[in-house]
Amino acid sequence: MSSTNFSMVVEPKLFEKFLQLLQKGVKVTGRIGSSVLSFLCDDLGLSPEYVDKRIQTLFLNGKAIDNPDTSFLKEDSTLALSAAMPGVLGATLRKGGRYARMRSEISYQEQNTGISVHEGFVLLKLFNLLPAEIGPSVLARGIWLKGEELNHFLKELPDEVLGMCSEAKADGQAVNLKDFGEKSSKYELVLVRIQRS
Amino acid sequence: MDKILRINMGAAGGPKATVTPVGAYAGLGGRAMTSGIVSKEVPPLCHPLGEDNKLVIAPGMLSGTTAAMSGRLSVGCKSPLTGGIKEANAGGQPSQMLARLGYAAIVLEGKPKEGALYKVLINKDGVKITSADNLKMLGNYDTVEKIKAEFGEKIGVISIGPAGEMKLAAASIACTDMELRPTRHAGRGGVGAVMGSKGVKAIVIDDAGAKMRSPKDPEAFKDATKRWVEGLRKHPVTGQGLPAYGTNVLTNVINEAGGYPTKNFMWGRFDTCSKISGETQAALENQRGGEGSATHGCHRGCIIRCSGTFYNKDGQYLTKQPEYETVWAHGGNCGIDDLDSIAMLDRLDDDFGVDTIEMGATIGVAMEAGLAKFGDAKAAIALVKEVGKGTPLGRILGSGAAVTGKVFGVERVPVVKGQSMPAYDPRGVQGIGVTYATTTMGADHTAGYAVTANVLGVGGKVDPLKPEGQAELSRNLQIATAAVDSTGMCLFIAFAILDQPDTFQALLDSINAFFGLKLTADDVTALGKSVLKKERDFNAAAGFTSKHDRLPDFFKKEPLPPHNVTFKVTDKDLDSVFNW
Repeated sequence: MSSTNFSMVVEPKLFEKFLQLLQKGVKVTGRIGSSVLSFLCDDLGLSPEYVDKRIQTLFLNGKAIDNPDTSFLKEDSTLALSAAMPGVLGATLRKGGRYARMRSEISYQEQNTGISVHEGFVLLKLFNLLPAEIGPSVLARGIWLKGEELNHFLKELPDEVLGMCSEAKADGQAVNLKDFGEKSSKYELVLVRIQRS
Repeated sequence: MDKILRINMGAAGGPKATVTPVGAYAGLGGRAMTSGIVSKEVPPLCHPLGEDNKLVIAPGMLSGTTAAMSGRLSVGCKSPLTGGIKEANAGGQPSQMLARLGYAAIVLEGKPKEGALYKVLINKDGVKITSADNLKMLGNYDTVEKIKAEFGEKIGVISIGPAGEMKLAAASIACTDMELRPTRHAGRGGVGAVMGSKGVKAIVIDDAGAKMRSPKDPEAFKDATKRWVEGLRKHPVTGQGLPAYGTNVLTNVINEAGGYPTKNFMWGRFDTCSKISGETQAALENQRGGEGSATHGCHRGCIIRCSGTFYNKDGQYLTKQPEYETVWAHGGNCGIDDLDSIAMLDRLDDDFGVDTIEMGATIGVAMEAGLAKFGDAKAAIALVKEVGKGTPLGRILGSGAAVTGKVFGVERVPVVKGQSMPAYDPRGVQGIGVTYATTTMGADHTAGYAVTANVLGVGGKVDPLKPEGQAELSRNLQIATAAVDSTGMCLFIAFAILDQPDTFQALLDSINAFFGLKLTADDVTALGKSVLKKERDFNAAAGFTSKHDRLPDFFKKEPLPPHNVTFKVTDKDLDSVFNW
């Protein structure tokens, strides 16, 4: 698998655009076989209090989670996270909520994965207030994008927004953001680390 | 609010207005008032567009006071879409204004001579009814502009568009917002067709000279409303999520759950839903800027401010921020992932005066029938324009999804009691399916929306993780919703109440301080039950049986991807919902 490391420091307006990627989902590394709670706290660095109070709605491969401590990651699992949601559906989908049984058909059932814990990829999606709150640390830690996906994303941005990058480095070497976007297509995966200036 | 305005549209010599004391309906508001009058005064077997039906317009109990979120206006009648009782409600300014003028309800009765069209002016001096021939077949936006030119800008307007005048079963009733735009609609059930059948194009409300309603105990009321506001502001849903992203914040989450009805309920996920999500919509609105762009209230006194203003690419006002149900109905349900097109469809719906949920579902059925391709936004816009023009095809579409499905031979028609389903697939979240099936209103998510049953103490303690008991949960939600709908409070208050019992107590204290009452949670529950009982009795007398409390067959037969689930709640369980 061909890959490269890419890092950049960008102005808030461009940073916002990267935050918007998080709702579609981005690959991040984590310990496959660990619990969702462990992944959020130990890998992403969130506090247990934040997970408990703020992350009210969680999905693992599209199934609503009631207990992050007994829900386990597999290779390429999709984990979606949201703050509390409105609507009767919002109340129904939240973890362990009073109305959880209204969606029992799509609730995550605890499974012993039997997988020995190892490093792997998780597709992480952030909704609602979470991109703004934990998105910056996720972007700083690094997200993995397909080279073509990164190229397409950068191509869609107006030149004035692309110019809001004060520092861009590929494998430690300074590069032009636009140029790198075009070159990124040749990589299968690009590890992108982004910081807000 | 101690009087009721009745207008007999069929009186000899022209419409006749009578103001009577509120009498036996004293103490009722919102849905309790509309369903109270309809169940008592409308013959259940009457034709919905005939002289015996009545259109009841009622502010909530606390409308016209300083209480936040109290501006919902209820509209009730026998529905031309479902054939049963109907309550639809809307935000906007009229509820507060009517309440301040002292009206607990307006009742439109009788039937005018064919072709007659009127406007009604209500102010502190009384009621004046005049011809509205100059407004015939105008859209809601042009109607309001002409009314503004005549009466000025310090008014509120309740109006119908061409769909209402044509008496189409998907017709809505528009209420003007703070900017005097007709953007807030009592959408469901064809209430606009009933207003059209009464020959009323617009009700103009001028509350100049009227005062804010006074509480019995001003100090206690002030204290309670302060706690009420604090409770709403500190909750993450009502204080943060809804103001930032509006109800459309649900798109990503429902899609992730696999319960986002896509392309006329064929799939539970829409691949490009992030293009139309609340997060994307808010970013677009913030980028385009303009007054009230991503965060805006629908009426004065709204502190949640889940709405916004949608400006087009050139910065021109197009419509209010389309909410989740609208974005879904015209978006994912039709395979459309362009926010500008969806906003245009919302504008057309508001202008012609049709329910966005019903129209989106109808276009989805029409697409399945082959009238347009899924994803073709231009074709969808053209179909909605047919409704505005009143062409034969437009009249079919404007009669809703059930009629459209019959005309074009479509089997997958997502309706209950003739009314289109909203934006949650009942196969994914089966408890919602129970509410869709059994509510008195026809498929309606808001009929079981008030997630306050725990605070109200309805139904006792339940284990949230046991799959049994869907019927019980739906029952509790429907009771709680009927109660909240009667207060005139926006249903979104329920989220703060769910997590913060003290916020519910603040609401209860507000009502008690205002009216000098000593209501308890049990009393509120009893109110909800009494409303539902009246509605159920009306529907039974109109010919509804348990066989009408069912979802369409395809929900039981077609597994919904990605979870491949079918609706499994038994008929026996559905029939137990109203056993209390």
